[in-house]
Amino acid sequence: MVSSIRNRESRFKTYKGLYLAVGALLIAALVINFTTGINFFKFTNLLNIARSFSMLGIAALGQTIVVISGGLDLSVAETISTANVFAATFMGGQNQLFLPITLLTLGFGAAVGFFNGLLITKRNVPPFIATLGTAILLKGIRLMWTKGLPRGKIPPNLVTLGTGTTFGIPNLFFVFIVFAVIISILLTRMGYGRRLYAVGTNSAVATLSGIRSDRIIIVSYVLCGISAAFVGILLGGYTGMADQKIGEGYDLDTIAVAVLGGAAIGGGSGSVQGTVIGAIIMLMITNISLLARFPIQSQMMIKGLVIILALTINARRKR
Amino acid sequence: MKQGLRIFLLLTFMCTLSVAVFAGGGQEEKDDGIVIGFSNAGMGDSWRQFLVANFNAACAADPAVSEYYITNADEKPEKQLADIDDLLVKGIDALIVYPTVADAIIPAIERVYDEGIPVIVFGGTIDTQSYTSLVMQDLLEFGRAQAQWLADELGGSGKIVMLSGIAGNTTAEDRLAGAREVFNKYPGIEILDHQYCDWSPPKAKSIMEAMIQAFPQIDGIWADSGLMSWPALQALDEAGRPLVPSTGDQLNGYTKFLVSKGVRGYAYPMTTQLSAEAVRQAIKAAKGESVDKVVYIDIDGYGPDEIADLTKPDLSDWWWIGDDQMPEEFLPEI
Repeated sequence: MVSSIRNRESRFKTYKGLYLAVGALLIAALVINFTTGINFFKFTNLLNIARSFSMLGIAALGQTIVVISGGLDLSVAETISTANVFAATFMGGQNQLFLPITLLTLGFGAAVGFFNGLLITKRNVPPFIATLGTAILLKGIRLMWTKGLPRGKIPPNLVTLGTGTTFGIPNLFFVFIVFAVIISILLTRMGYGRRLYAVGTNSAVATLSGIRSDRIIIVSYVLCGISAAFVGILLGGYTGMADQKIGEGYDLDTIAVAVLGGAAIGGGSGSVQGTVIGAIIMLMITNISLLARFPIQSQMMIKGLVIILALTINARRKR
Repeated sequence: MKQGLRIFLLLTFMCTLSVAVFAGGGQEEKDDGIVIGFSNAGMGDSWRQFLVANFNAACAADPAVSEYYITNADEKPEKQLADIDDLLVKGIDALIVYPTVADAIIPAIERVYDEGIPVIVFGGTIDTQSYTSLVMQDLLEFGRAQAQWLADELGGSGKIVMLSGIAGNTTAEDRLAGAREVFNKYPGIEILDHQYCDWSPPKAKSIMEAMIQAFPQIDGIWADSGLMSWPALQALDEAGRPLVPSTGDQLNGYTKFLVSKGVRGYAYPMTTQLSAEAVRQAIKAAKGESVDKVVYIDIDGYGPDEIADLTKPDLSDWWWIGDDQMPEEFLPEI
């Protein structure tokens, strides 16, 4: 009991900066509500946020695993876009192809991650360069394949998954919950998670202690590739279309969310909880800014300031 | 070893000679036809595919054109500089350029122009006078026409939202400026909000979802592209709100949605026939005829009736309606 309370206290202290940022944003939302009548807390608004949060959250969790391992993945955006086009093309609007093509698309994402992992571990290419190169390669392959004209159609049940609700809650949110639970178990209750943190903290020492560091790193990129491919499919359901650029922005956004959530560039730290809070902060900022009709310049400045503030508080706490 | 070296050198010499013969002496004797070179900025989307298709069709349609070449710069200015040099080597009689970054390729354009070869530029303005003709679409008029249709549709009164492309991008800002010019004339039209959506469908949809929360009543959507008005309408539909008149461009996915839902909309083309017009100007210039320094291409927008006629329900969402008026062999593959 005492140990459990101490753990909760410790987790609070670890994420104190993030909780403060969420608190500040909630206060800002209340102020905006009182002054303008625009209600951030309206149920339908929260559902919209939940939908966007789910997709960003899944991609960011994949990125978090890579960041914990000491790397980062700049091919997330192109993996998402390619998976989106791939899935739409081969599903062809047919419900019966949804499941097999989803599995195939996830396999594609895994292959991208495997390729990244091999480049980084077996060829010693720095993660930044390796994944950037993969991103450019994916874009070229996709453009050559589609000739700029994405084909295919999103099947109705994927549209239902992307836009529908169950018991009033977006289906996407349920998908995210399942995904987050799986990743959380992987990181906190399984041997892989322990080894991942060890490799991220010090890869050489981890290897000397008998951990197969290369394998751990490769798996981290495979998981990131799978999560990116999954988001590509879900974005197809959300928008109802295949789009060459649907993943644009996800590479940097997922890194920002992971780092905001406490994952250290350089490896060794990060968590599902932190990433979830990081994604909540990012989306709250965006949503409140839009509701308050802030111009784009103000939105960018607010986003930047909140991120810097949260990171500063977190960095001070870790000292 | 010595014999091996001799054989190697002999083979190398023969290969070099062969290349020289076929590249130089083996070159087809140039006839009296016009040779056109097109330095394209990139082929990264379906709009560019149609641009190239219209170029090919226009060249093939004119018997004065004997050969035509296209290079693809992959959006890299340094590659486009090299591409223009390559086209010069091919002995072109006219150069058409769709710039990657206009100012970055000025040296290459000026070099070609100074050699007396006509240079036709389209797709943006350029900070030099060393070109023969600039083919343009009036983007202010783009925004004006869209806004005027929406204002007329609303009877001069109503609450609208505005969705633009990328903040600071000339195309987006010009269209927005044109639209604001028109809306300013209608005191009864209230612009509830304007946001930049980066021409990204998921971003446009999530922004529209927020707007739906913020504004209980939205009577119309001005968007400079179907990439935004289409997902915006989806957001309205999913929120159970009435579908309202909207503007966009000639994207088939947008017009398919309008037709399927019976919603009124206005598609103002960001025309890919700019390349065909550039070909016509290049041919005139190559023949020594006088061409205007700036040529504005005439565009008519598509109202609901034209949209119903031109929309291709069985084709890709990324088809560009109205830009497919060419022989089938030139159409992009679907």
